[in-house]
Amino acid sequence: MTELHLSDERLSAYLDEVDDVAPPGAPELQPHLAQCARCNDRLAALRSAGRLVGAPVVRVTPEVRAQAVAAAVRAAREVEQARKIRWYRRPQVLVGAAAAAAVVVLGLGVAVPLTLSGQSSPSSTAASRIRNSQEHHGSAGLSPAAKGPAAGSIGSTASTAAAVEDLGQVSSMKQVLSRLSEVLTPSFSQALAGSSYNDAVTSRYAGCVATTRAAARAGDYGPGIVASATYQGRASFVMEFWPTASTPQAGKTVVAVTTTNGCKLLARTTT
Amino acid sequence: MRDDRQESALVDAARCGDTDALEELLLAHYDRVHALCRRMLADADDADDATQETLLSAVRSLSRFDGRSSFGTWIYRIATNACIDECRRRRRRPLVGLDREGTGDGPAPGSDGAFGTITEDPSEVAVRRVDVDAALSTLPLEFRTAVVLRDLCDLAYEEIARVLEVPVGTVRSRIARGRAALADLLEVPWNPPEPQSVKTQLGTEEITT
Repeated sequence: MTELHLSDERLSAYLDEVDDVAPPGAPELQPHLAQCARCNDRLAALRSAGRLVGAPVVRVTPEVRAQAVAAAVRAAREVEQARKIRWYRRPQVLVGAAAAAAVVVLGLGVAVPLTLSGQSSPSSTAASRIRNSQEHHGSAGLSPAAKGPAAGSIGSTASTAAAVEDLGQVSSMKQVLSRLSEVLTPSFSQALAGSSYNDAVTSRYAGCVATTRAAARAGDYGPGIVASATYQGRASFVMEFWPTASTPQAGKTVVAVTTTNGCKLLARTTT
Repeated sequence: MRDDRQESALVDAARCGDTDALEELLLAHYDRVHALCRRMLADADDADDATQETLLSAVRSLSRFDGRSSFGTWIYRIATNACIDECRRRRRRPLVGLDREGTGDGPAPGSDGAFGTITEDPSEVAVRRVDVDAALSTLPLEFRTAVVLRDLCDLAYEEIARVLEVPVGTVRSRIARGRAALADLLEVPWNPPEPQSVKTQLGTEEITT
């Protein structure tokens, strides 16, 4: 029986012309195929299956592609240079409709175990880095309410990016925004002022899970991780988030996301 | 297709911190990586996430890229691992709820509507695409990966063997078993497009012109 028909593996490899036992045009395959309807049918079925898998995939728009790549390039730049949280000194990004920046609170589940405690040191928190960045760039927006020493980490290696400001226990988007306003710069506070928020919103931001996991795996919280928090009892991150595929394309947006296993958009503020 | 020397020059520049080169490199490979993730995960959002994870992972580990394989094969490998990780995570968690409960922006995974963007395309090809995504998602992960790398990504058996770190014979067997299972599932009395047009549509814009 086994000699009567060709195996799926031989037929499949024949399609790919790589079977070193029976290379394409092999005398032992072709005569059989020439007279065996069943093997011909099977060959056609395997070929069709392969072509279905190779059928065109829904493509992303050029905008989505450009945004995603830009986020990765930004990540590379910031990882290498330990340059953090750029949009706080670029408020025009926040008001630009096409460049809606978002802040998400990310809750991390058991699949991505992270240690939130013991990571903070006053000299290298996200807030202090932001303040340092402002100084470094001669910005007039340095927060007079800025807490903690301004000992510099700007320009140092990525390892100093390992700690972020902890917002403590927060239970609503309003609290997140208010705590952020306390620890971050005036320009950020201004950007948030006038926002409305909605704790009930649930939808999805593509890329946030990936970004968080990548940050977790890399052992530091950058790029984009602004602060840690305990959001409704769950260890979470507040994150600067560059929109990708599923994000709103207009207006300023601030988002809180938390789940036990990834990201979930809980709240959104818009102006 | 991109000239190999030009690409390796881009890789070198990107490794030296040239972000323009890095951007060009990632743009050139984005569609292929996204297609791989989309086919592997059969979910638009998960594919976006996996693609983004792949890009981030690639830029983080670019300094460890040794040039022994092409950059394309290398980033396929990262994407494949990202997809496999995602599939294993799915196995550990229920697929209900997390991202879709009460959102109104998509039904639960597994129903036809989960292929959100596809419903915008009413053509026969789109229907087939849903079929093949659904069928693929029922295959064992090893078979699915091998078939996608071969038939969508057009990698040679040897390249797939390097990506998956298995012998070529194993690759051959997995591809065959994956195609056979798909053929049985889909009962493919279908007149597929010519291979040339398939490859053309999959490719990046420089291919499609």
